Amino acid sequence: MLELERNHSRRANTCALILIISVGLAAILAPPADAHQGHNHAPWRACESSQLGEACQWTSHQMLYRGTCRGVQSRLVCVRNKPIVATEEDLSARLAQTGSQLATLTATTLSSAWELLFAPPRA
Amino acid sequence: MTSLPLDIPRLAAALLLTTSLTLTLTTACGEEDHATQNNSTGHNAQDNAADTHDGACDQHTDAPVPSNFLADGLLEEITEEPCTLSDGSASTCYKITIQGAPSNHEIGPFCPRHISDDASAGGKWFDGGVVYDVDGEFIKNLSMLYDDTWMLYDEETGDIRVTLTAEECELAARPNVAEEYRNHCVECQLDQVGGAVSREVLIPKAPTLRSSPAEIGSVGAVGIALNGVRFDPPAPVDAILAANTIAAFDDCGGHVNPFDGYHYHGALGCSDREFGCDGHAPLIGYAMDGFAIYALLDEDGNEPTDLDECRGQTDDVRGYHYHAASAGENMFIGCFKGLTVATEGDTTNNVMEPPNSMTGGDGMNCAEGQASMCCGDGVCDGPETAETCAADCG
Repeated sequence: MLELERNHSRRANTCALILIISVGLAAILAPPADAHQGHNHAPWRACESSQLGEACQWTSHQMLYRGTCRGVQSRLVCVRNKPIVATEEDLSARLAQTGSQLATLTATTLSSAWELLFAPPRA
Repeated sequence: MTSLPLDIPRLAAALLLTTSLTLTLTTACGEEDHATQNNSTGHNAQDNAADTHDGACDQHTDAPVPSNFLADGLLEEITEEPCTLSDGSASTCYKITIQGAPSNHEIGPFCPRHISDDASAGGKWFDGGVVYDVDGEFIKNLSMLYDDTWMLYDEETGDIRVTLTAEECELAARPNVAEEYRNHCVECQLDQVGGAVSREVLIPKAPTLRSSPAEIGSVGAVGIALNGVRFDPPAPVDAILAANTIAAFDDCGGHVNPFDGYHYHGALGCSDREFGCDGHAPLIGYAMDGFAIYALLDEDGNEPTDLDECRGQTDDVRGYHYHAASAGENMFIGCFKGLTVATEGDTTNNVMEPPNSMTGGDGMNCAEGQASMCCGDGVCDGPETAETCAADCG
């Protein structure tokens, strides 16, 4: 009977550990939730107060698009001619976020794992 | 001496711990994941490659090569004929009679029918550099992507409101969407618009650089894909979205409207040839000025870093050529670097027929016969907007 309870306890601990890791990883890997992310006007807005041929840039989903204002369909639009790069904000935010989550996750996981691996089973 | 009290659950826990730490570190040090979104290609270039190569690396060719087109996409053989370029000079052009339908892939699907449908039931949507799968989940979540006035489906049944008839297509697939077709996923089929829209297109046989770039016209094509489909200017997503509609593209970045038939708004790999012998991006078609348009990425997945304002560059093998933008940018090239064919009324429009494209299509309308779009203020390429367009053109 006691052995059965120990097994149940171990299973519960394992499930809890898996849950902790899954939630932690999901939090890190998931893109930031941001409502109303449509950015269809951004290339046009980037040139609203610009002249033909002026440099321009716009961002969408934490990516930076850099180019030149050109006339397309009789409106000025930012035509990208540089490779797409992650915005600095995004990089630093991701770094900070990841660092914080990494620390939390590592501490939580180590604590749970230590308890599961080496703590005496509860009666 | 006691044995180490390890059993299977504990071993699994240890393994999970190691995996989680490895994954966490990988995430912290890994590359940005949006690149796949921005450079998404719906098709592998090799899947649609033509049989022949576009030239050895030691050849210099910046002129169109008729044999690069897939014959099935054309109604007639490509011929040469005299033409006048936009600077008034006499030249020789290729006359390309396109079929108006792709020769190497099916058209559609565009709109899913139910919010439970997966990506195979729908096509794509381009916005803000991102290529979205138009599946049931996308339709369901449009209110989060845009705003809470979006509701393209019946909340009780989950059925998506889609334009299903020729009349519905005609009323919804235009900039001024009829009121009753707001909050619809808009799709047209070729048989609803009288079949494929064939066109005769002239492109210069020997492309010539111009002194300053020319604007991409709002009614003319940007170029012709190797499979005989038009590359069109950006879809007017602001007008489309203003009516709470999604004019979905298929997985090749094309859709149908009553005026232009089937045409592409983004390069998703459906007319690509193979990579160049030097790893250069695949040829996908030709711009109206005769210069070649290549895909965005080379064999190593890199895009050029020295593109000019039109998205063009020059190298020893290909001479001057363009690279298409990523499909999510809703665009192919930014301007014409070369002389196009002069046609009555529009110096950037090489499409000979039909004039009815002046009265519809994806672009903002101007008066029929208007010499140039929105240049009434004397500032060609000026900062006109859709709102000022009507006044300029009146």
